[in-house]
Amino acid sequence: MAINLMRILLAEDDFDDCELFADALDEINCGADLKTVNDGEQLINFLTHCMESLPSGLFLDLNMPGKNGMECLIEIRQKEIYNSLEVIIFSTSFDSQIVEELRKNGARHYIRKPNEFSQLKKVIALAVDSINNKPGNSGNFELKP
Amino acid sequence: MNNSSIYENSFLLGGGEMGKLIREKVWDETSLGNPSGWKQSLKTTITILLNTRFPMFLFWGPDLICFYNDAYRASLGTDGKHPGILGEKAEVAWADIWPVVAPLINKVLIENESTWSEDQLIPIFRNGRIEDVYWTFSHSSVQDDDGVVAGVLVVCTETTAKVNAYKLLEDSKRYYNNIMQAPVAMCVFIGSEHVVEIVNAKMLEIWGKTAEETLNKPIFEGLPEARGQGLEEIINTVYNTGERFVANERMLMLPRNGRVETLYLNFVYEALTADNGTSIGIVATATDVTIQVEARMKIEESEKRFRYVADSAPVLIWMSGIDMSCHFFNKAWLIFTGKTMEQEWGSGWADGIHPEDLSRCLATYINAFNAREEFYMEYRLKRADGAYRWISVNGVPRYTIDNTFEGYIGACMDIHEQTIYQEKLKENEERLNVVIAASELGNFEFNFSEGKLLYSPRYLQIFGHSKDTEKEHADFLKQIHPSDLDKRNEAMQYAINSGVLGYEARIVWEDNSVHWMEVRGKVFYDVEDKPIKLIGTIRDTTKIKKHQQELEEREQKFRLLADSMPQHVWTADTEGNLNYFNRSVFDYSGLSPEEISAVGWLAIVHPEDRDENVKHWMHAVKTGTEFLFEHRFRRHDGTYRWQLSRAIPQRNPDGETQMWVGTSTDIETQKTFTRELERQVHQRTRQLEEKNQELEKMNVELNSFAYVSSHDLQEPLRKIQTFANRIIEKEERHLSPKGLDYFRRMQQAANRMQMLIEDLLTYSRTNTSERIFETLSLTDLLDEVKADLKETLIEKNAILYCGKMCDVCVVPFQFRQLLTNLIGNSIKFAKTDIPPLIKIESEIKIFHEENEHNLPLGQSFCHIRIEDNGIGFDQQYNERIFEVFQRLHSKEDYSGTGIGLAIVKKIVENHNGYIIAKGKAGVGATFNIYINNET
Repeated sequence: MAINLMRILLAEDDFDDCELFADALDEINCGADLKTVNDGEQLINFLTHCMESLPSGLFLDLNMPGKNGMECLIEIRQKEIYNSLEVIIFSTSFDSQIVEELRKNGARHYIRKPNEFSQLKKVIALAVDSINNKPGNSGNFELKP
Repeated sequence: MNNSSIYENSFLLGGGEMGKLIREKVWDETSLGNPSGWKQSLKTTITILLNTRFPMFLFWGPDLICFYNDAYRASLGTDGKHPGILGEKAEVAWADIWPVVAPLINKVLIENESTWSEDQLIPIFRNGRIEDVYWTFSHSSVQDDDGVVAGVLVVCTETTAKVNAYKLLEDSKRYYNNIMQAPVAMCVFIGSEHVVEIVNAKMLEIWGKTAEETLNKPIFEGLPEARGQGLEEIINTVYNTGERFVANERMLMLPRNGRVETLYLNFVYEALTADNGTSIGIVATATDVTIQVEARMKIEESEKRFRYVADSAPVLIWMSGIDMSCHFFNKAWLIFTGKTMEQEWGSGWADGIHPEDLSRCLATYINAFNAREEFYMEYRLKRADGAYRWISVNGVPRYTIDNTFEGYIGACMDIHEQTIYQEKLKENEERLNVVIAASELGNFEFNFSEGKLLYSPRYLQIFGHSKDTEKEHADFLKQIHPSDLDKRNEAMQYAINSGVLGYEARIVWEDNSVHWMEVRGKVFYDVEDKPIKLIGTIRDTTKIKKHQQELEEREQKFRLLADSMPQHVWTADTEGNLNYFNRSVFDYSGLSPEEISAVGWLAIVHPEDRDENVKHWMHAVKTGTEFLFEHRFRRHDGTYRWQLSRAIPQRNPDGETQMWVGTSTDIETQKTFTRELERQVHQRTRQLEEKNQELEKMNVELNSFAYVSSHDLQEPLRKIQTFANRIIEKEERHLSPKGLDYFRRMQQAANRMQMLIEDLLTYSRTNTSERIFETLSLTDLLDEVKADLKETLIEKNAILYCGKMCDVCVVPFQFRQLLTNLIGNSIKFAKTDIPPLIKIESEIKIFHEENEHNLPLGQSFCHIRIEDNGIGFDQQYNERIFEVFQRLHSKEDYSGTGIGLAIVKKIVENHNGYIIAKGKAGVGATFNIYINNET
């Protein structure tokens, strides 16, 4: 086991998307360890129970039943212990107002779910790079394939 | 006859100057003719005349021709009759004294008698003037050859010198006598011993001596009483020096009736000197002035007494002399004026008189003085403290015992308070007169016992008479209008009983015109309570009456008009109390005027409206603003009907409210109509509100549709796309070429659907999203857009040229969208052969004149201009390109949803701006955007 195994957390209620994300992450072969939660409640629960081994990056879907992505982001950014956790918003919609709001609330990147699998792989790779290179300049807030 | 023949007349030889003149005279022209033909008697007489040194004059012949000799000629003097009268007719020659001379001549001629006149005064013209000449002369006849009296010979001597000498002698005689008989005492002392040479009776009287006692004796011997009184030294001095000595009222002790008495004398010693200048004596003249001096002393004594009295008198006293100037002021005067006698002396007193009074006072004084009359006047005199006080003065001429005018004496009194009081009284009276005159009142005074009426000019005027007519009480009575006579008599009777008169009556003037008068008066009674007189005023009230009548008529008209109106008409006083209602009010309410005044108008107002009504009405009355109110009035049948009441204040020219005139109009029908209208409007409004709510709901639904679109629609679509993608990637080889083609077309359709959804979302978001305006730099905004479009720009080889830029106040994300869309548009519609060039610039612009886009003037805009060199468009489509789903090109040629420019237009409109597209096919497009820069 590599000591510096990268831990990635995906908060996504759609199982298709979960599968696609896992496939894409697998294919880019970055050796990241992926954990998946399916809604906001689960996400907050998970984070409270893995204080010692916080994931490096959280791919957060906005549209989730119960506690949605925005609420989760705000809650996470309110706690200093999660400072090292990079939050990458992973959403279907693209609303510039919302995007702006997310940035203000401390998201690291915004990824609009691409329509092509190859593009999905690209943006995930970009995001993983960005997490790894932290705190190097991450360039654009919105990551595009 | 020639001159030589004259010499033949030997009788003319010699004779000095006159002889020569007679010889040279041409006698032929006279009645005597040539001397050769003269009678012997004439010749003989002339011979005597010319040869005697005794003055002679001859009148000869019927014409009494004049001849005279050299001796006579002297009496004619120079510049006189000589030599003109030689050979002249007597009548002509002595024309000046002919009346004196003619009788003398005639006496000789007719009576043949000689005359003798001695020292006769015959004034003649000589030495250039008429001189008094005295003559002693004799007229005697001269007979001619036939013994007839033919001439008169005058032998004369001028005795003027003798007569004058004699006259002088007479005068000196008279002088001596004068001395002797003079009323002045005179005497002459001769020699150093002063021997009395001449003394007249008067002097002897003074001396108290007889002539025998004093004449021819040294004076101090004859008058020893005079010794030792200083006279010796005086007389000696005059004698020795020749200087004259004058004594005035010198007191001397002289004998009188056996004893020595005190006398007062005025005397003069004058030295008598010989021709060589040595003194030979003294002429003394003296006047006994004892009586005068004593009298004067008495006067002085009495004057002193007078002054003492005057000074102790409390009144101010002054005295003036016959020269009008004042030479005495008593102590009271001097104390009053605070001046000294020297200051007041003469006309110094005039300084103290008030300047306004001075000339009047002087005039009074001088006039009285000249007429020697008493006078009285009042004037203001300056008191010692500087205050002017009113003074009265009584001036009386002063006379001595012997009635000689001496001047004036005046006594003055301080009448200041009195005068002020009088002036005030006068002023009050004048004021009263002014008031009466101004009020145009006529005054009268009626004496009951005499039945006599006194009246002022105005009184006459009011009765229609001119000011100077004389009228009796009865005349005025007759003028009282018959219909008012009883009223007048009653008023008089009442006045006699109560003391107060007052009535109004008509009077008929002589021209039959009728006038109104108002009479006021007061009756005065004697001790027995009998009326003595009535004093009163009358006033012409015709105009007022006429005005009143007009008012009444107008009021009548108003009521008639008001009563004929279907509206309610009412009036109110300035306090807001309603005091008149027209018939309509009574008809409507079914109440009588008495009932309304008893219960009040408010009773007919609907109880619900009363409070507001009173509030509104009192507000209007208080502020003077128009009253406008809707309320319900109870009709006689008990139903209430809506009324619109309006009242307007009636103001006088000064803007003060005089009364209120109000109307109330039945608006029940309108009101019902309005209510119905209101109900309908209300219903409609409710319907609209419902619709609105529906719309809102729909809008919300629409928004949630957008939401659904963004997630729930996009989600499956994206999955279709992703999984399709996965199929192509992994299962492509399992598909037939045909299947692959279909598959790809399906993918394209899915992509297109995604674009549509995205654009629609953007479009709807521009409508609904929150708009927060921020002022930011257009350059910064463009940089962001450029970064977003970086890859596209590089791919298309596009050049984005940014010119002048300004700040702009916009909703940032919307405007970013706008720029993105426009730039994207330019890139999309670029020409295939040349790389796209997009020029962007902006500036602040204010239009001051009409402009092609009809932009408002004077407003500040941010003008953004975006120009490209693309394919452009036909200008006719410059509006349509902004419509949703309007495409000018097929989607095969140029991809796009046809929403991009619609979004741009929407954003511009959201910013209250304007966008104008200009295009030319094949050349390029230009978008001009004007954003309001004033928010």
